[in-house]
Amino acid sequence: MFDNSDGGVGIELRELTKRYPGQSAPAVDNISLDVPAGELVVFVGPSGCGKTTTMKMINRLIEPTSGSIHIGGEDVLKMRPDELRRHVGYVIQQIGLFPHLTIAQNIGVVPKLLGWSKTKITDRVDELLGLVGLDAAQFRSRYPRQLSGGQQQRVGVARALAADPPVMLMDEPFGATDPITREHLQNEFLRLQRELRKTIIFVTHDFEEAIKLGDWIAVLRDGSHIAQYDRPARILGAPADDYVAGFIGAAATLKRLALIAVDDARFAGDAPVPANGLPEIDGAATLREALDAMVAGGTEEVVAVSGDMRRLLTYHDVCRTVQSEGQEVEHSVR
Amino acid sequence: MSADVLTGTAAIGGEVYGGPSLRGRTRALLRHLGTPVAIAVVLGALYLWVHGLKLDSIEQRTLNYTYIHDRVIEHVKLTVVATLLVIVIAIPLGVLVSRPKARWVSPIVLGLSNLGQAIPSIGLLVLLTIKFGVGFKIAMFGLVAYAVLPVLRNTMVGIQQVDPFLVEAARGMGMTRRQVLVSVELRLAVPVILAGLRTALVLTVGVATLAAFVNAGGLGEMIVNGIKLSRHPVLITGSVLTCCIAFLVDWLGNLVEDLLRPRGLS
Repeated sequence: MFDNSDGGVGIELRELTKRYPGQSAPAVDNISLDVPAGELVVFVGPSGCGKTTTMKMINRLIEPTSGSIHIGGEDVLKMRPDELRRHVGYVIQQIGLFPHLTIAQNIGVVPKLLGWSKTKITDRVDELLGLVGLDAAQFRSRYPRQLSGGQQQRVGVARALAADPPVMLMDEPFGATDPITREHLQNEFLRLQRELRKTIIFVTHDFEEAIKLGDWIAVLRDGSHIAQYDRPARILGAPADDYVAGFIGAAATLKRLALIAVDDARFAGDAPVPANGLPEIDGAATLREALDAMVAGGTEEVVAVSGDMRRLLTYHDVCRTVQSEGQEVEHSVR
Repeated sequence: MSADVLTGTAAIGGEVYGGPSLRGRTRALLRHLGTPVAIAVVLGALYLWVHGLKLDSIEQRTLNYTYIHDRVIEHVKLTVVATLLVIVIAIPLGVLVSRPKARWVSPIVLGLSNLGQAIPSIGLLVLLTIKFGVGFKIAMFGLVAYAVLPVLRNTMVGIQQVDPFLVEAARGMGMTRRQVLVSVELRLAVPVILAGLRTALVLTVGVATLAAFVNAGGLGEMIVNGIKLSRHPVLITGSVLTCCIAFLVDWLGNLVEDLLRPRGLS
């Protein structure tokens, strides 16, 4: 359906509006936005700001009042809605696994709708279960109620990926899980996305989640108006207005530190240091973790270890890094 | 990961998941065996009792194999035909009423349904007879009118109680409305629809005794004759047989429910 040959398709929203009869203000008011191919854009905003409505217009669960939607250059509003939805992955907070179908049947729903052969579906189901970290032999013939919430949402993600859609829509997929499971799911999802490079719209009201997962963040206010659409580090470093700043909340700088890898810090000196009793930290860790190690160790220096390289990272290096990051923003921890 | 894998009803040692455990199956078997055994015992006792009685000529005319056999057949026929008609009428109607566009009809149906249950069935039959005469068709009309409502109501409620997020997920994956109805909504409504059907069936067996008043036969004839002629053995035989049929039908309904309930539902 969508030409996926060059590795992904972008999404373009143009002057998209949804007006419900009998309501004075539109639920979504004239939003225009580009989602680059293969990247993850998070819609973040308070409840009722229209972020979910905007998302549901893309797979036409809600029909727009006016405006246009293009996926990979193709006009979505000219397609048959059912056919369109089979090629757009969809994950919701409530997961919505069918209780009367086994895990394998749940994942196979879309491939079956697309008329795949039985063996092809079986192979794909096993592949996907492996991909989301569930043992296929153990899980494929179970029923959803025999799985924990976290496992169910993994199946939810696998089901959305079943027919390998280039585009995924995710509506607070990890919102209903406990913090530990959520963190787990987020990490695995990031790993998966690095591998698969889908074009994803991800809706959440959790700003921390937005920073962690998003390549881009669109902060939305009432009527789905875009308050700011930028890289996470930029939004943290230079919030467009008080509304965005309010959304970021306290400790914005600490949150920014969590986006920068130790390896990307501005080291004052490159001289290798021998083992000297200072706390050591991995180069792939974030500056926030490095700072944590400093505070915990009661020192202003840690040793950054990346491969054979051992460099001294000081408190001042951290400060200098985060200050310079304000100007040339690189979203380096991905 | 592996710790929470074993939650739910996961059986011991890699058994087939979702199937009832061995103990559960034994319990289900005992439950399913209990009713037929009890019915057999009651029928046996009834036979022995009637057999030991000295019957007069009036009683002999009814308490014989041919007469009872014919009445039972008539009674079962009334029940089965009425039920089939109810299935054909009430389930499609229930589906129709549960569609989003017809949701406004549902309170009306619920109201009518409750009202229908409150109207004495004998009154309905008498009114129909005054207007249209007597016979099998009239009895059928009354039975169906009475039994349609619980099935209609349960079909409607069964579909409406399906989690709306399941419907949204199904639509979001590209199922057509028809596919959502058939493979999600109706499948999940099966237990509720069957419960309504079972109620309707048992009701029908009871109400079918009133068919005797409109000359449509059935075990009601024995009961009415027994009362009119003060022949208690006749009255009791008719009543006990009706009860046995009702229990048997309920038992069958239960069996079908267990068979058709989607696996994976608790």
